[in-house]
Amino acid sequence: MALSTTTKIGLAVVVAGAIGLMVALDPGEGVLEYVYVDQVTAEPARFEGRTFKVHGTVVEGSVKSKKGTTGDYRFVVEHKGQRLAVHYTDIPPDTFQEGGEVILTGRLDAEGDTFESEEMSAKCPSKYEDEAKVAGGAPSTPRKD
Amino acid sequence: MTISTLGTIAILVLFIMTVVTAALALLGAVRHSERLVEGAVQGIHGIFAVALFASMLLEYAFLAGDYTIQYVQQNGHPEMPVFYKLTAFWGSLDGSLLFWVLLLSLFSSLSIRANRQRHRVLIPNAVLVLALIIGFFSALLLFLKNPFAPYILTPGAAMQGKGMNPLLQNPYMIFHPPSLYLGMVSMAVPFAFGMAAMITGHVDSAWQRSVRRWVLFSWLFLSVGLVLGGLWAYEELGWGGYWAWDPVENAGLLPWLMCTAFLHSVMVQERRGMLKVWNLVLVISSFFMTIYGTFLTRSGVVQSVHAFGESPELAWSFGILMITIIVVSTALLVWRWPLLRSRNELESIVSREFAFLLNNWLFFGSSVFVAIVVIYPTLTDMEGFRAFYNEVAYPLVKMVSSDAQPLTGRITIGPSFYNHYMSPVGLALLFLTGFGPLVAWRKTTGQSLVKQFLGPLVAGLVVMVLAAVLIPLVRSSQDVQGVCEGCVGGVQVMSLTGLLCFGLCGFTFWTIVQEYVRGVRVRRRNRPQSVLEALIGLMMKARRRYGGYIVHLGVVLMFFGFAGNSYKIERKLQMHPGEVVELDDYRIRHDGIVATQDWQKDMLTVRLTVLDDEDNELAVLTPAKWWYYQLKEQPTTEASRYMALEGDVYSSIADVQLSTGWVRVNLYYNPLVNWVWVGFAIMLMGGIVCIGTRKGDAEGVS
Repeated sequence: MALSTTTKIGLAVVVAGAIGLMVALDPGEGVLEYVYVDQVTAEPARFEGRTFKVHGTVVEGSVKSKKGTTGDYRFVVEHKGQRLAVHYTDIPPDTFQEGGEVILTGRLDAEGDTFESEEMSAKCPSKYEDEAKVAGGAPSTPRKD
Repeated sequence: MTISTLGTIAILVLFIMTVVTAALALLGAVRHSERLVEGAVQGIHGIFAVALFASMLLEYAFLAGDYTIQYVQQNGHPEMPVFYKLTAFWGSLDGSLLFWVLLLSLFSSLSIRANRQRHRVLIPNAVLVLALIIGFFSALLLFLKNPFAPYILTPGAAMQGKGMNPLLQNPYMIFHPPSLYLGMVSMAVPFAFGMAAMITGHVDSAWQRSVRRWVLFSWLFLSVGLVLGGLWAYEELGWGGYWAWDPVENAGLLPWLMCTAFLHSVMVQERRGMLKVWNLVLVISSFFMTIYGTFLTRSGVVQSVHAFGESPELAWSFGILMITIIVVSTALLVWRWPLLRSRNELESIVSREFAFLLNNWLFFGSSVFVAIVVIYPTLTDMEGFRAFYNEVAYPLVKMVSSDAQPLTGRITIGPSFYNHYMSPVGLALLFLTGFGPLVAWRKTTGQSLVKQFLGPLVAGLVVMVLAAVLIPLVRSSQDVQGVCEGCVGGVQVMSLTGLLCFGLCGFTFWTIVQEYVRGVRVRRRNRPQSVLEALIGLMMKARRRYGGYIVHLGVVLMFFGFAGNSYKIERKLQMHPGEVVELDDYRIRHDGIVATQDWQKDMLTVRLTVLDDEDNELAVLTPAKWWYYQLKEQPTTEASRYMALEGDVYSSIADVQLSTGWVRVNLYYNPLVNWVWVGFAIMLMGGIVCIGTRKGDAEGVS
């Protein structure tokens, strides 16, 4: 004896319902648009009020941090000649440095000219192998700031 | 002759041998020639010998410090401990491919030897498939990524290696990649036998018997690899968690999910002669996912913290291999469809068959889901895909969800997305873990349902109510400081996922206890013996069944640990020397900074003393920043934790100011996290009990 048609239909409804429910529930900020700096400066209005990720290179000499506070950085990121000011309010990762590439998560402020962010991932300027080539054998001293 | 030349010749010989072996196996199968097949079998053993030689040569190059080889130059260092010199072999791309070939040829050799007499008909084609797979990887070595490629130095340049990436110099990292490799590579064996079964038309259960233990073996090592990877991330990366749905983690998870589905569904075929097609699909998918996972991690198509770098040639090669696997195996399935008809039909949805089928759908579905999600951001980066999406899919999506946006550029998918979809699936699987073994094959009567499930249901409800009452009680004794999961304004509120998880843990736990109690009781009724004796007798008699229950017990404990995630606390703050901060029930005191150094790094260590609520010192945490000399501008973060069964006090430091003694510290309270590792250890033991199944020992499936 195989399953009855009613059972099969019932199963199909349950499965469809479960999938539908999961899709309908908001997955939060799991899915974010990922753009380069020049895409933001080209049409800032499109990003108004939305959280997204922006990728760019930290401009040399632009990093300013408030001494003695828990993460308060201002710097400028650049891509294809376009620049965007960033206000970053968390502790940056180990790999964060001027001239390095960063991917920031956040949103534009009310004026639409500063990117407010609390989340960053940073890449080293080049691959690990090339990086090691630059570093010589001489011992370094711990950072004193 | 230099090692570089000798090694390259070995790789060349290896490749030629795979081609010859494959040709012999093919001819032998077509002409039914014992002699040709024998030649092919010897060829497989020979391939292993050559692969072993090449691997030992590379190990020798590392030990001897032959920096005229590029791979050694980049990954070796004269001062590296011997242990790391040995593991540097598979530490980077080219060597890891050679390691892959070594393991694959070893497993091929072993599996062919083991099944030579028992499953004669399958041998020629199994050899053919295995030789082709090894051939593919040795071609990669030969043409794209030769680990023996020479490094031509200008005279006077430093003859010194660069050394392994400091992040990888961690004990877990020694065992994590090889363990994953073992698990992934050994999936090729069941795949080869499954293909051989389809080619020869012997699609009864014989091929499964020949591979069942291989699949268990793969499963065990994949599990070990995944958990060690999690432990490594937890201890080394300093963000307080162990799983972030990173593409590289997913690469190991995908075949694990498929493999778990397969381990369950073979039982249905053994018992009821059903799901034959499905089993073949699962064994093919498991292997496919190992290749897909390798593709993800080795080709650089996805963005990940620990991808191996970009390599378009490799991406294309793996792409072609994946398409070949899909096309060939689908064609074979269609061809053999008439032979794969079920002996029985599904009779009721309250039956073990159906529970297994659901389990399979969930595992298979989540594997496919994760596989698509992980590559999706890469797809959205392609102009063509975006155009396709906006033209075809977007109008449909728009109908369902009004706030959908057309694709204008790359998107990213974060952990919360995965968690959103995978948590309910995980809970459903946890439920099935308890439900499946308790329902009968074919169909279950209402009476026996009540008898079986009354206890577990009560247990589940009790646990859930206890959790709902106790957790807020414990937490509300003080204001919860910091960012806390499931808290509103510093007060713990109920977490639905957490409570469900606790409840299901109670439910499933009780079903397992009940099964053991019953089994012991039956044995003691038949012959007088002690409880312990009966328990051991039970395990020996039906290892697969009771070993399986131990695995399930481990799963329950792991989920118990996952449930703690719903109650974790996170604090990121700045601490002066002497300052005390609160974290859940604990108090953390900053007791100064220590600077030390060794042969390869400078270290700054912060001493954080953990105090309980009565100011007793429990432990001293030593989170640190390490500056490796070879990589000065990129310090590594060393986390430190105080372990307890009720949870970890976990710390890592983000920044140290030597002049003032201030540190920026990340503190986490991870409730129940250690149950994940405890549960895993139990799961592992259960797996070992299962794998010890003797020949013809099939009563365990009842």
